[in-house]
Amino acid sequence: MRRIYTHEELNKEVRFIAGYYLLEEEKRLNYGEREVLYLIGHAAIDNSCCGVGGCRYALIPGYVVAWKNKTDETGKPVSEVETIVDEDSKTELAGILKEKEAITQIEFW
Amino acid sequence: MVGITSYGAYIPRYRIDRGRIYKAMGWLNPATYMPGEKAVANFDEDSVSMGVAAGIDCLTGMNRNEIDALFFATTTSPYKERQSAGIIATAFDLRPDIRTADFTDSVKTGTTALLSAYDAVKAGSAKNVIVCAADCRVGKAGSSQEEIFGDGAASIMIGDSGVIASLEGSYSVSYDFVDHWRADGEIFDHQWEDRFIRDIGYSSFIIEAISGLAKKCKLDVKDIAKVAYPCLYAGDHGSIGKKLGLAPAQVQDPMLNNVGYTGTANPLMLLVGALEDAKAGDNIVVVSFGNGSDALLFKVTDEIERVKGNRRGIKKHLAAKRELTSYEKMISFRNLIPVEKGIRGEMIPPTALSELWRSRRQVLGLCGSKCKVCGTPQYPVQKICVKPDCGAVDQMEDYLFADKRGHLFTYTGDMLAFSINPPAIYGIVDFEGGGRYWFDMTDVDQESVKVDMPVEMSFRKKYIDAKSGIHGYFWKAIPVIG
Amino acid sequence: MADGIKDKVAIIGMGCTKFGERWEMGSEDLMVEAFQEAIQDAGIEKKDIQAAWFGSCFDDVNVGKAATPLSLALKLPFLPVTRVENFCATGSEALRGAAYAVASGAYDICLALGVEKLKDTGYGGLPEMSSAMGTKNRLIFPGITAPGGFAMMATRYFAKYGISPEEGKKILAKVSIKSHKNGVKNPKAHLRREITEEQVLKAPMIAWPLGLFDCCGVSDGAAAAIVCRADMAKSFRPDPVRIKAMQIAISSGEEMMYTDWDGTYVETATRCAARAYKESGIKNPREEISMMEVHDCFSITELVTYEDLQISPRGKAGDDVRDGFFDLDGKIPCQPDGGLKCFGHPIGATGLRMMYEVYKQLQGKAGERQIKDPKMGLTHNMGGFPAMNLISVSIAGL
Repeated sequence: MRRIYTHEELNKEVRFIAGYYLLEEEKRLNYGEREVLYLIGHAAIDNSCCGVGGCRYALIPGYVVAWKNKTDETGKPVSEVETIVDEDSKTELAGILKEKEAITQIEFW
Repeated sequence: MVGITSYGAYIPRYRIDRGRIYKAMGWLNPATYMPGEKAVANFDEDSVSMGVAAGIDCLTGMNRNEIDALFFATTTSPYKERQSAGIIATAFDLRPDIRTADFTDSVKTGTTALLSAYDAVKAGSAKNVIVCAADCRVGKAGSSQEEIFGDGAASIMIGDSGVIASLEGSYSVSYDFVDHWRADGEIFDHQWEDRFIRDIGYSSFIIEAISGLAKKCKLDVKDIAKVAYPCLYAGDHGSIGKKLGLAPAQVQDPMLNNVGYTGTANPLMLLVGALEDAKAGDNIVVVSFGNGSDALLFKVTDEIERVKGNRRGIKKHLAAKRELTSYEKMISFRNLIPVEKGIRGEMIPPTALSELWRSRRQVLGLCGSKCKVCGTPQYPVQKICVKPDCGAVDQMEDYLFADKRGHLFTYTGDMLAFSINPPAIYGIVDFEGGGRYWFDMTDVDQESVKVDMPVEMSFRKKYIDAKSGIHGYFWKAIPVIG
Repeated sequence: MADGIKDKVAIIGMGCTKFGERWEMGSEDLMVEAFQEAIQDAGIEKKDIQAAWFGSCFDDVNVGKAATPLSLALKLPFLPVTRVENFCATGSEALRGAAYAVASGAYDICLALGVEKLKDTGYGGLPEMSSAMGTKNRLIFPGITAPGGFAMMATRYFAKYGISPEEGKKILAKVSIKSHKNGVKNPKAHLRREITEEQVLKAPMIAWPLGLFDCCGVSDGAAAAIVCRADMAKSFRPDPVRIKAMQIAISSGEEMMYTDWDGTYVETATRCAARAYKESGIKNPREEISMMEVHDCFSITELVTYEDLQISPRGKAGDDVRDGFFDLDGKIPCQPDGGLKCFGHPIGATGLRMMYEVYKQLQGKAGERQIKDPKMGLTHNMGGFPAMNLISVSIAGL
């Protein structure tokens, strides 16, 4: 599935009642013939009604289809991505990222 | 005829590549390197839980009500005083009018328990005795024990009908030989020099016991199909066989390379390994080591075919493995480094032991109830039937859930619940034949859990209340093994 | 023949503190603040109150058990005071106690007050649950948390209706975005910040498939209500709010131990709502309810609740969410005050905070958030997990 990915300002705390998260980096990784966009962020769940936690995580919007080729209505650059659905590719990418990055959670869009 | 009537084994699902241990701690004592991998008990496993797992394998197709005694052998009991065999007997939901005993304080006692079981049946004081042996021994960071010791369990049923391998004879030697020792209150072994252990210990006592047995039973070593004996050292394990005149094919693989040295459980696990490949008429010798040695000779009967292939034993457990990719996780599982649990994680509500006594069959045995009016199984035990249009009062009979499979009705992986192996995965299980309850899950990854996946129940340690010295046990759902 | 509580009791005054991390305020301060607003709003004095119901849940780790914390804080003149606790629906229980006391004819005017001070534990979140579950359950319950309990419902819901995780996340995001948009307009809310779908979808998971933004937070707060006989209510104010229904339903164990429940809805809520509609004489809730405050502890709870309350057909709540049906300018605005997502969840206070919004909306005093001409408001307050819980549904109208 193709989706629009909006490039938000990095290292900006996004606060919510149960905690906050912060995206540190947007990275691209060569994978086979294609390029995968992934984000590194960290989160603190410091005020949830149910516990304390948090993590440093990777979020993988998908393969890059078009890189920053447009802007949205607020002027932020957007890219087009193709979400990764193949389970084998997901497993392999998760393995690569676990080795490469200091993270404890990996989520695919 | 008295002998083995059933067998079972357990190897924890986690295996760690010894290279990982060496990479973490090899800098300290570079000589500790060992090839292969070893089995690591999950954070919620210990000798008691592994003993239960092996015993359940052994009980497959056997009648639990006909067991008259349970012997448990280990050097790593969770309690100094509270009998592990009693916990295990409750987990098996055995009759209360049985004999239970712990055999401990030496890694030799697995075979000693076996001999005691034989003696009891032979003497007519018991018809069937189940023996479980398990160990979960730890080494200091950077020690060779840390590389060698693996975790595992085995279980052997001794009886006088349906014997798959008769006990033909035994020979024991006992010496206060102190190659390694652990004083009261200590976690780690002390050990004397390796060369002393090899040359004076393994090489002499094992040979002395086997030679004694052969002489006593008028047995030519050439007529033995398999000899199963432990040895801390892979190289010396081979040379003991050579000294005895055994061909390599006669020597049971000691599993140092894929499981590790499993202490008290070791000889019994090797015996199970030998039985898995045995055929009628085979002579199998099993030998232990620790403050002396026991050697036992078994002769396999036609009945072996009844059991062969119907147990998970060594082979299926070996195959059901997941790689443990972190040394730090391994030592955290064994509570060898202080880890931050947070204020909430450290809060353990007190265990009401009178409640545990009242509910022991429900908690330790996973025994629920079944309504005699409508036939609905329910857990925990109910006074009033939970089925909406039934509601019968006090019409319940016992119903065991521990041996039932189920499917996962729903689940989650929870990052907020404290777990030493997060995320904490739990779900609701619908049992085959009826009944539903929610359980923690273990031995699974978030990625591999699916709605409706088949699960079975596994006896695990639920919590340790260190302040009160309480080890709490309960059942968790695991993916079906094999 | 019992005929329910409809139109027997009216609310003539309410108070609600600002919710949040009130480091400078203790429970007593919060109770006094809510109480003072309520009696001033009602135009009565303390001496007019004849009995009180006090709701606090985990606050017994803070101010202690029993009814004395309320009586001492407010200096109630040796009044009959009852402390109630019913998990996260504790606030609603306090109101129910006070309303039923008036309806019974025992008293003319009663006070209901709920408070929770959770920021004195030394850690985020509620105290460890297993100690609150009884000696036997702590031996056999899994190490469950609230997000996990509700995540298990999300897993079932998505599986039953063939909703992919991506699609599911998007629907839940919309539920959350709507509440945050409303919360910005509410000075009493803990968190007043709009969020975007992009922000929600970039957050990590808390309990699969629930992310950070699906979960509510911890706050300190208190809320209070003054109730009186409906026939005397207009002597206090021209716009009293009449109680039309007050129902509560508790799990029988059927969902957890019997295999009929399919895990995609809340059995108690379904039954409780049906009873509340019957009590209030509502035949078609989708047409007759003007606004709702529901227990949105997690976005999935709110989604499923739309269906349990018979507002959306089973499996179709997502369509209504996409259509903006529950937005402030939609057909039935839900969480006009921002809900638990913006208020957090001081347990004892939450049920009363919900009714506070209904009360203000019906009186046309909700300021920037005012809904056009509401006739009937509903609160839905939930405690426990979908598989084992209690639900309170109250309906109020002018």
